Amino acid sequence: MSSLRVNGKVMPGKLIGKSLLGLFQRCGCRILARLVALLLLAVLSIALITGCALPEQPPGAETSGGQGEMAGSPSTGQEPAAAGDESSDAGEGVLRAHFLDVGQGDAIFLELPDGRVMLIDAGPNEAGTKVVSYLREHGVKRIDFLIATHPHADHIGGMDAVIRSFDIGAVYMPRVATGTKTFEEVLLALKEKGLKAKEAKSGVSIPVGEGLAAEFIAPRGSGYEDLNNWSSVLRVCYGDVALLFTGDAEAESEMEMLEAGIPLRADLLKVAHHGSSSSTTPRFLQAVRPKYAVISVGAGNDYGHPHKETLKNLEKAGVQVYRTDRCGTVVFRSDGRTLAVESREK
Amino acid sequence: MAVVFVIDRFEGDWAVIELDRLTFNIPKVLLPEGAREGDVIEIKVSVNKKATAKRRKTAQKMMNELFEG
Repeated sequence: MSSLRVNGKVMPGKLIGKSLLGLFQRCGCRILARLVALLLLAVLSIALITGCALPEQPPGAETSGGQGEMAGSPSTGQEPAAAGDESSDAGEGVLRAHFLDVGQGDAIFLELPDGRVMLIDAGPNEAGTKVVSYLREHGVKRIDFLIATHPHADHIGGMDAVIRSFDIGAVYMPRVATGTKTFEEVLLALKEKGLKAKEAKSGVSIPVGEGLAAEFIAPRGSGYEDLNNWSSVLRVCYGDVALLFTGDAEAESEMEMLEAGIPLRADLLKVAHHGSSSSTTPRFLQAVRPKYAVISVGAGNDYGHPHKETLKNLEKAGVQVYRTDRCGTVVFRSDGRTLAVESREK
Repeated sequence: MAVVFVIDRFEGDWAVIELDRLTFNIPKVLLPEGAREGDVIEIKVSVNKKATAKRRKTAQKMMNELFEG
C-alpha cells in the first residue's frame, strides 16, 4: 500500500505524496486493511437488497409495485428518457429530482413543476465540472434556488464552479463557517457575483410557487459541535408526494426534528450522511416511512459508507434503496400524485 | 507560499484533511486532542538520515548478493 487516499480514491504519491506517505502509512495500514475487509463483507451482504443489484428489474419497473399509499394511476411503462430529452415536459407540472453520481458527496438537482431549478449541494471539489456539465446538458441557464446544506467539502466542493457558471437566484445556507479553502472559495464566488445568502434553518420556506411547498425543518438549534448537525434539512411537498433532503444531519438533529412534532413523512428520503450509522436512527426512519431512499455515496469509499446497520434498517422498513455508487445518477419523477424512478445510469 | 492543512471533517476513525482543493485522510489518532473541524493544523515531516543510510546499506548488500558474478 504505497499511496494516499484522496477523496476515497487511491492517489499515487502525487503532490502530498512522498513526504506524508511514510508517516501515515504505518499508522493507517491496519485500520485501512480492516476497513477494506469490512467493506468487502458489507458489499457482499448488501448486494441483494439494493435496487440496482437486481438485474432482472428493468428501469421503471418499481412503479408497478407497491403504489398502495400513492393515489392516481402509476406511470408504469415510463421509459428512461434519452439524454437531453428529459426536460421536454419541464414546466408542465412535473417535478424531477436528479441525484447526481458525484462519488463520495451529494448533489441533487430539482426541476420544479413551473420550470424553475433548485440545486441542493454540488458534490466534492473534483465533481464541480461534472455538476456544471450535467446541468448544462439539461438546459439549465439559471439556478433559481441554490442550497448548501452544510460547509463540508463533499457537499460544497463543486459549488464555486456552479456559482461561476450559472445565473444564480436565491442562495440558502446554514449560518456556520469553517476554515477550509473549499468554503472560502464558495464565499468568494458568491461575493464576486454580488450574491447574498439567506439563512437556512427550521421554519424558513423557499418561495417555490403554487402547488409546491419547500420548507427547512432543520437545523433547529445552533452551536453544534459537528458540522453535520448544522445540515439544513428540506422537506418538499408536491400534491400528495413529499421528498425529504437531509444533508448529513445526524442523530442529534433527527432527535430535535422528532421532538418538534413536525411532519416528517416523505415518500422519498435522501438518506443522510451517505448512509452512515450516525444518521437514520430507527425512530426517525419510522417517522419518515419512505417508500424510496437514495444513498449518495462513492464506490469503495474509505469510510465504509453506507454502513450495514443503516442498510439493514432500511431493508427492515421495506424501503426501496437506490445507491449512486451502483445506479449512477438516479432520477425520480412526480406529477404530484405519483412518484417513480424515471432513469438511472448504470 | 505556506502549505495550509485544514481539518474538513471527521469520518469514523479518519480525519479528512484539506490541502488546497484536495482532501486526504489521516488516522484521527494522529491529531491532538481537542482538534476540531475547520482547524488549521501543522504537519511536520523530517527525514531520518541515519535510518535512511541504514536501510540503503541493507538494500545495497542484498542487491550485491543478488547479482550473478
